[in-house]
Amino acid sequence: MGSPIKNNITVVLEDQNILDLIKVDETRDKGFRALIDKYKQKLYWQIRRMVLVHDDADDVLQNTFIKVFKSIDRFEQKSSLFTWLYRIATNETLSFLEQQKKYQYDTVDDHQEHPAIARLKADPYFDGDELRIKLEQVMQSLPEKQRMVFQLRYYEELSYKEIADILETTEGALKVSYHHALKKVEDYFKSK
Amino acid sequence: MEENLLSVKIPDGNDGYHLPENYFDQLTESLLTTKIIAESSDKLKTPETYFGELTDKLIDQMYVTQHLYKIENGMQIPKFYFEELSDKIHSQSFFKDQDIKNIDGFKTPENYFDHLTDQLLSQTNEEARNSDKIKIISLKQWRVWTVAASIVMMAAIGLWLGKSNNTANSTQELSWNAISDDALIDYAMENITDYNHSELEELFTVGDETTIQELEDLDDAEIEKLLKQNFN
Repeated sequence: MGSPIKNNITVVLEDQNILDLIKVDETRDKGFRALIDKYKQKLYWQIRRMVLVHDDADDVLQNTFIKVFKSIDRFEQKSSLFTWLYRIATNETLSFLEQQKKYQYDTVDDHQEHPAIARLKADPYFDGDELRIKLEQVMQSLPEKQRMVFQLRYYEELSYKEIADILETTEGALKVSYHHALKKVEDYFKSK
Repeated sequence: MEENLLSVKIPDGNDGYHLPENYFDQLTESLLTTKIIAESSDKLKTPETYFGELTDKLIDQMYVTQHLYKIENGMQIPKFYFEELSDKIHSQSFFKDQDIKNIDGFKTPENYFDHLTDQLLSQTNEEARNSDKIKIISLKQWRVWTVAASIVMMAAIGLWLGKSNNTANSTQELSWNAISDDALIDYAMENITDYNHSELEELFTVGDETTIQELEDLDDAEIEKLLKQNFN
């Protein structure tokens, strides 16, 4: 098996090949590199759409991969590698948001701009227009898990089955959650 | 033969052919009217994109007609189907029209993804080295450290109390030897509450994969309880 990066062309390996490389000490680093190359962008955007700010997304992504590397030897392949990675990224994201809420948002009242929106506007890596900001405002009014469902379904276009595996919940609950979120987004825009 | 041909009569209208009354009198006027209509038809206008939309419009009408026909013929539809149909279509077109997928606005630093793999690998390697250091600390050693920390803390409190009360009594000395290890540990467990979660995770990871899974869901009180169980 050659290097996943050859002449600046990234060869995307199958998940099983990546896991096989990681299992062997001599090829472990190569396996990790292939894993990161394959999933870094997908995971980054999943995280970014939840935490909004680039620096936060970068932190959460690093924590995600640290968790992945620490526990990959215990990965029993009961789910796909993709599902497992998304699950770790989701858990890291949710605990980051929980911590942020705990330490930062205690003093927010209803009339103030949501701190996440204020931070988003200040992010040098954001140049969204008013519509995007409005969308994020309504997103912030959703419970985090519902927001996560919306992101995974609407942006990532994952199936309910895949989302159910990632969030370890039932497809029925997800469908309700997703349609709730859709309705809220739509109502919000209609009322504006 | 020539005489015979010349003798053939041109019909004069009385040979079976008939014309409307005054036909030739009105013919000129009739032809002029037709010309005017033909010329003016070029100036008639239709709404913009009328013909472009006409096919869809006709198909829609056919669809509705077909549906109504089906309904009249015993087919059923969900209650309020037509009442909600426009909302439903509007809702679908809302997300289509808004196209919110493409209004991200999120950017990353230039070449961020190009360097990300190396950056993540170096950080995870460093993390792995750090966690190796932590892993060599056994529970037993940690217990000793906890006891040592509590002794230092108690000594500090004792000294501070003695100084602040200004009741120095040279004959009254704290006899540390009289306090058992268990008592010190109990004291530490009751008073030290700022456990570093990740360190605890590492400690319990060694040779115990189930505990680490459970630890994810434990709160501080439960972790303290778990620690007590491990010490006893």
